[in-house]
Amino acid sequence: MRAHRILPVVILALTGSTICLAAGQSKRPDDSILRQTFDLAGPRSVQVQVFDMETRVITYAPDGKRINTDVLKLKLKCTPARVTGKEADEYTCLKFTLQFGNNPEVAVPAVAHWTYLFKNTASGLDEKGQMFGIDHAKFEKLVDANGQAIPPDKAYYVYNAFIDFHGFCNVFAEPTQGGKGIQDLKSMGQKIVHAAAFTEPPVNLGSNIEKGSTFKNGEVTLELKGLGLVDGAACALVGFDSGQSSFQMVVKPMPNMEVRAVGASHYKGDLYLDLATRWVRKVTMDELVVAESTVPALPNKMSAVLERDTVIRNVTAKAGE
Amino acid sequence: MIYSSIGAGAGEAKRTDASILRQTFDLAAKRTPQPQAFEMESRMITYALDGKRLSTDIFRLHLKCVPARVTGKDADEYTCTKFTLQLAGAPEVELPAMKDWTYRFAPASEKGPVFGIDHTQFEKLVDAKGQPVPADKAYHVYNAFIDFHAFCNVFAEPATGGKGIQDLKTIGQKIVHAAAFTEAPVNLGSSVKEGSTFKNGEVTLEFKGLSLEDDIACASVAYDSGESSFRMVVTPMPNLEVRTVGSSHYKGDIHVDLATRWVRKATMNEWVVTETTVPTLTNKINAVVERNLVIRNVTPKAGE
Repeated sequence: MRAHRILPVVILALTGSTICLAAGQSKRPDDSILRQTFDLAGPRSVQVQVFDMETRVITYAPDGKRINTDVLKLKLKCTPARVTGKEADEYTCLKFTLQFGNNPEVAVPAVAHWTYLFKNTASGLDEKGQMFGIDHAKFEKLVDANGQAIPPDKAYYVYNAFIDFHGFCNVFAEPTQGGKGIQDLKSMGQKIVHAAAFTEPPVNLGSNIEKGSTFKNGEVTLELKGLGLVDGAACALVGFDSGQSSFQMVVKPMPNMEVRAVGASHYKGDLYLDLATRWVRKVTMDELVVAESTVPALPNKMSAVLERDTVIRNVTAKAGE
Repeated sequence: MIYSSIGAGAGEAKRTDASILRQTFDLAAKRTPQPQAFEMESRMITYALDGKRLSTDIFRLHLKCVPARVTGKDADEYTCTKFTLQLAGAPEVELPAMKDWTYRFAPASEKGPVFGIDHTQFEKLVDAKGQPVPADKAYHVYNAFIDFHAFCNVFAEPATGGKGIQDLKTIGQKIVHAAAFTEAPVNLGSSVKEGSTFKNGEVTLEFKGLSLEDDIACASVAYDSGESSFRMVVTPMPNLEVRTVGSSHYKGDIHVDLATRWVRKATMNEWVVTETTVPTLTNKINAVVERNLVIRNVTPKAGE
């Protein structure tokens, strides 16, 4: 008797927990959470956060062969201003490693335990004209843990990892000033043109990359695509798309040598924004870069096609914060 | 207002009732037996080597599906109700040969042309103005049908002989799809020779979450081709053999209606890097192409 009574309960529990019905029934599950109004722009909770970011840079040969992959890994801690009492959130690079091609992974000691205050101004520039308050001097004459000098183009990737991080986790994932942003995404399926659309921020860096070097965003959009789960936390799934972007860079590898690069970029990806804490739980990004460099000493221009794939994960729980 | 607005105040870290996200899902059961209508737009952007976007071609396909359980036939029947081209900023023009063309969809495992799509339909295509469609563009017309079925059938329906959407039960789950590392033929009629193939990389499917498309709750499933490559041999003239090799990386989202299991929307972004060898030319021809595709289910809802 007892078994007969329990069995239907088990069956009900099993059938009840599996969404999607037999063909022809077309019954709608309780999806009311998808029809709610969302507020993705409120202040984040007051807890220290730790992030792991991995970027893979794939270089294509003209015939499409993937000839090289560089891997950059950044571990970054954020201590909110409301914890430190400072005027801005404080970021500490806990570790940065590089892996060029098949070479072993190697750390970059100069940026380990480096701390900076993140400055999210309307233009993104601080009083020195540096993006997000990130000190250019930190990336001058970088050497790895083996004492090997890091070439300027690779050192630029190290710097750019920090720019990317704040581009996705702050510019896109936090409310904007002077234009539309995540604060305008209220309901599922909504899409907006972001305040960053058609802006042209500088991409100069120290003595390597000259002023006048810029990255021009296309029609940058954000879209509230859905709801996801990351490490058990319910998240808003927000897609971003750079539109048709382009760039120009002037590099001075030697005092009397000026290398000019122009090119196109298209980057897009997803942000997973924790619905409870508003911190970013995960970011994915893919970028296509088509570039052409003019080197005065060479008769032909140099073409390059790159793909960049980035994943940022919030590892606060694992880090024991 | 407070109840209906999700996202707690600072410091509260309040968890919303997201129990639906923690359910077990079955995305692989049979689709409901109702005819469906789809619109697909594919934009193909060609880059110059300096990154300039040289041209954009737009291919628009209107496709109707009548399930086998409606017709009583042995396979779902597809009818192309309209196909238009818009090449490099020229006016949009229709392809009369494609209009009202009907075929029966065949799974990839079956012998015969891929997905049952007859190659002869794409031979010597002309547009509504009587202009011949160049062979490379005609290939993209054919490829629109291949793309459609790859996303809406191969990825969005259960796979045989390996993992597929049937294995995605919980949000966050990711699998390597049965299509991973397969090498499919891409020959087409007399223009693209046999031996031309597309080799998939590690194709994955990931259950990203839930979405709302046209007010309908959907499972959002991401696919990623991994590092794919291809080779094609084209004979534009009897004694001229043009060989193209290259790489591809395509990825996107498929939104599967949780109630009917039909695809409500699919997106795709592909990057292609190619090199073509033409015997009569001294230099090889390099190209970088980006393709952006959207498929929308435009079936009128009941009562519309």
